[in-house]
Amino acid sequence: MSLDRKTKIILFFAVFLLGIFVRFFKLSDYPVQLNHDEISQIVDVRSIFETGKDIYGSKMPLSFMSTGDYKPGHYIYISLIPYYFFGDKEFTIRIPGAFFGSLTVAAVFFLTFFLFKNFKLSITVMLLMALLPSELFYGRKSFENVIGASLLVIGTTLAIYSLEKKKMIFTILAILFALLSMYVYTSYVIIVPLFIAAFAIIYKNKLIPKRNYLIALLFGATFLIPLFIISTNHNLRFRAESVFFTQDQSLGNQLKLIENTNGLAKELLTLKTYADFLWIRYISQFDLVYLFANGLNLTNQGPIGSGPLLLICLPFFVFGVLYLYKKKEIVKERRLLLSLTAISVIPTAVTFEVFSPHRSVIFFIFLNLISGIGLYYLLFELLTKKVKSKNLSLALTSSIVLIFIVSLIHFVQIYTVNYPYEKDENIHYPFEEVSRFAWQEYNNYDSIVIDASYGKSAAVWGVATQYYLLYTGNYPPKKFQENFRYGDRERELIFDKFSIRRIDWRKDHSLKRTLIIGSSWSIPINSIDKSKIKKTFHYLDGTEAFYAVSLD
Amino acid sequence: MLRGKIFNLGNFPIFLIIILAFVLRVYNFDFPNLTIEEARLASRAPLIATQGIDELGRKFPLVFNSLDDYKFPLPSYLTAVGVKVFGYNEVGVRVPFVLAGTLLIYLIYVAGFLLSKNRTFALTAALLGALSPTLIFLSKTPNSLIVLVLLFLALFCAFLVRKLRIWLVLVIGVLIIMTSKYSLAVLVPFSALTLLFLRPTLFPKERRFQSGSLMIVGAFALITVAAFLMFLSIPDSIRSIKENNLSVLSNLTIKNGIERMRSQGVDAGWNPTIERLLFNKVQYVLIGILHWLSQLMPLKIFGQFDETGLYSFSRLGVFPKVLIIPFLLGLAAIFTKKNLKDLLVIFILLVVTFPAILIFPQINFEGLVLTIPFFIFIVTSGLINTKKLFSFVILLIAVLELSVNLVFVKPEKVNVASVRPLWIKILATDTYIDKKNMDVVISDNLSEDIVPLYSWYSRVPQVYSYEKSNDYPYRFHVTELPKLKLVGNDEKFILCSQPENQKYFFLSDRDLKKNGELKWLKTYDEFYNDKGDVKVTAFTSGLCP
Repeated sequence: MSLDRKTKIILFFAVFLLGIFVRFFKLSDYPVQLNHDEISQIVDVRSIFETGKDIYGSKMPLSFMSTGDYKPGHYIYISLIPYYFFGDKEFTIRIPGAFFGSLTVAAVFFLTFFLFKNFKLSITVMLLMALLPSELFYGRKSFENVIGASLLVIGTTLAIYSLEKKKMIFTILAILFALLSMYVYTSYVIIVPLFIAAFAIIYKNKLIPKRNYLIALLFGATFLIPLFIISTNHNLRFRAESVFFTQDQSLGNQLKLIENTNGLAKELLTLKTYADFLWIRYISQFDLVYLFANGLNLTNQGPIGSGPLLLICLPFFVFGVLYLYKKKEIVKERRLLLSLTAISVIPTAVTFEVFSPHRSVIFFIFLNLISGIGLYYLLFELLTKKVKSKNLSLALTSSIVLIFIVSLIHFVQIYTVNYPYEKDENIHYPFEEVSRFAWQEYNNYDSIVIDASYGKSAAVWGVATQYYLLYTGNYPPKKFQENFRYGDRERELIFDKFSIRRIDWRKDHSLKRTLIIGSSWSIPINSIDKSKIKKTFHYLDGTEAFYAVSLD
Repeated sequence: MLRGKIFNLGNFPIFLIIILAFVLRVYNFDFPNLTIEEARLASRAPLIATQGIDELGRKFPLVFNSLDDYKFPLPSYLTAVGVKVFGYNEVGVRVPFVLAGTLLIYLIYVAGFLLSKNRTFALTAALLGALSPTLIFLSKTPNSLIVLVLLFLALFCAFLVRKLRIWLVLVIGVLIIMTSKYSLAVLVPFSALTLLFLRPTLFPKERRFQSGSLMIVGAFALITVAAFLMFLSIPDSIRSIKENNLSVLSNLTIKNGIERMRSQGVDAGWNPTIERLLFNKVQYVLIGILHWLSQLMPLKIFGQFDETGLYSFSRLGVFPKVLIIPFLLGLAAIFTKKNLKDLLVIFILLVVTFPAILIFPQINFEGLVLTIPFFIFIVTSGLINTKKLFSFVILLIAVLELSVNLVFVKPEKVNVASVRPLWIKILATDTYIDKKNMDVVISDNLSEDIVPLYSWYSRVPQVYSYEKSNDYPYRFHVTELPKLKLVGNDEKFILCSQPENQKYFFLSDRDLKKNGELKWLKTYDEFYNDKGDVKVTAFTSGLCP
């Protein structure tokens, strides 16, 4: 059954709107609160918007000191646009991620369509893309890699389109979008050159006229000059180096084993150790439990959670690969998709974490794309054409759709219900409430001391406490820039009446007209007169997180 | 004609490959050090070889004991044969398995030829088998895995020759059953798939369900059932199966996870029926299937077969890394050509590993080892269907990588010292070889199970010392040897001056702290385990139990 043009357009927009809907619906509510990255971003956006400086007074910085991790500034600068329209709202900082995530849905449709010239296949891939768990998760939480992935998918789409149209503008735009992704997220510095190389090798006979591509490459090289300049920025380099695989402790242990060898043997063994480590890290990313069961790390329940891809996509993926090998006329397309998938894993392999799904967003997109092809193959070729009984075909199709829906509901529950419960610490759940309470009590005390050590099983320092206070108190960034200072006590940052620092109860218990807020890691809560505890703050699962203690 | 081609004495390449395989397996002969379980096989062997009993005093038992599970008997008897012939030493203990590993290469050649009818294919497969780090590693120590894969491949060959020799097949089947409990799960499906589906692709004129094939599958089913029932007669057999072969069902992470997810959903206002639909016992199956398929992913085969170093080099896969290229080419060829015979090889990979579904989160090494010959065939298919120069370069890189691992074994020895301890050798040889007449007392927390390792390194055979209260104690380990006693946390020892009561003491920090006066006693020696995290303090005088 072929579809007419009008139906195709309606279907495209229906799926596109679905993609937009699931990314923007209740954007303020899920995730349940701004985490420390998001809160620091929104406060810095406001600060840049109002003063042209970040909250610490750096003028239009390339990298923001933020919570001490020197965030690249792109996301913050991009967020100035929604800030201009929507102001200081929680969802403001999430809009760029959701917006570019939605664009990816459309871009994936066009990429697939330009590759295979098959509407049904493309719309199936687009549908799966609209509902991809990893995209929904990262697209709703102000994560810059979502923008990078979107730009790269658009660039790749334009590159494929340029093969057909043979106009230089598309080639230049393709290069431009791909290179932009390198500015947005460091992983793409590795991925994009390899993407371009793979594309050039696979389509070497179709790069006509060659002049267009050479000019586009020259343009790209020029466009990259600022990136080289930026990369000399000490803070950005520090950030990249701090997550590089050389920081991995197990690699260090492996290298220690060969310390006592000498000469050529040592060189050889060192090289082998690095090669082993990187290779094992690389192919570990194809672990099925990680990809389809728990890779998004939304729960603490071992294999029960959500993978970056829905579990039902595993058989779809297998059928997708079978389809790519079955059709003899799509050899180049197969090579392109499989090599892009293989390349997109590399950034994760060269970092110090065994699994870092946040760096693998583009990898998941390609896996999902192949799964979408598999779903198409299954529904529209195998079940429709190969199964002779219409009733059986219908029953099997309905079963697949039903299981897909159940898988989706499973993800929705885990994302909206279990994730906040299980990972409330990771999303800094109690901090917003703590900050609001501190402002509520502002006029009752001379000083408010907050110790940001928190955690259920181990103490972690809440690095964004000042940002939560600034945001919940609607505190003018300019005023903060003028009066914040670092104090003498451990980790102390002071502004206005607030002192964020470690509490030493032996000294601090005698303070007067002071509100002390801390967790049981810093306050001996059992030995304190209960009447002094003004409020107890809880994690989502009911565990006590912080106490506000009034010292009169 | 087939026989002539396989057994042609003028066929030097295969002899060269077999010699290469043998050399690679005897090179660095005493590497790797034995694990506790391997040492248990070694230390049990002299008892069987000389008296026909095991460490529990049982006469030629069919089930042996170990620290983690019951063990089926063939590997123990094979080690005993080696010890009987060569003595209780490195040669006696390792040679049977070196020979098994070398014979395996010949069987890979035969199987490769039977599958492809192509000598180059068969030779390439044999070469890849000879160069497989995992197969080399497993051929160097007493273990059941190399025996299991050898027998399964022998069975595979016996299934694929034109004339089915039923007696031979049955003998191999019985030997397989005697090798490992795992075979109870896979022997029948493996035989059914190979005989009823793969064999007909090689001999199209034969009927698919010919009586000989059906009889063999039926006989294997009966043998399996009989062996299983025999195993069930052991009092703790159900517990053994639950803990070792059905661990997914008793996995608390999954059970608690399901309950937790549900209760959080209900708390948040979701309908309890929907919660039951979303989180239920199906999760066990889904997790089991993912776990199973994950083990067949490239990580194990081309990256890291066993990071602990129990079953292979700790940083190598079944093959050197570069062979993933011909593997992918071979796989692609299977998908594009859609030859039923090749597809069935893929199915065999699934059939021999399917029990992994039930043993989450452990790795199913027995199943994985059985897949190695079939992975070899896929890699071979990729290698011989590409340009010769390219294949040559790939093989060269593979050989270079393997050489580095085989030549420089010291880092590997240290890296896996926690499971293949060498430091106990210092302790054992120091006491037994230099001062044979002294009794020895050792802290029992220095190693999980020190007696087999101590017996192996000191070459003092175990003795029948167990009081017969239960013929098949579960997770049993011996705690005494002649002149060796282990001390537990609650046992005491004192300073004493009578030389006749004094013994050698090798104490952990735990036992050093028990008696404050020990700090005044002269220490004979102090040494650490290979990783440097367990300290042993030795006293040769002044202490009595």
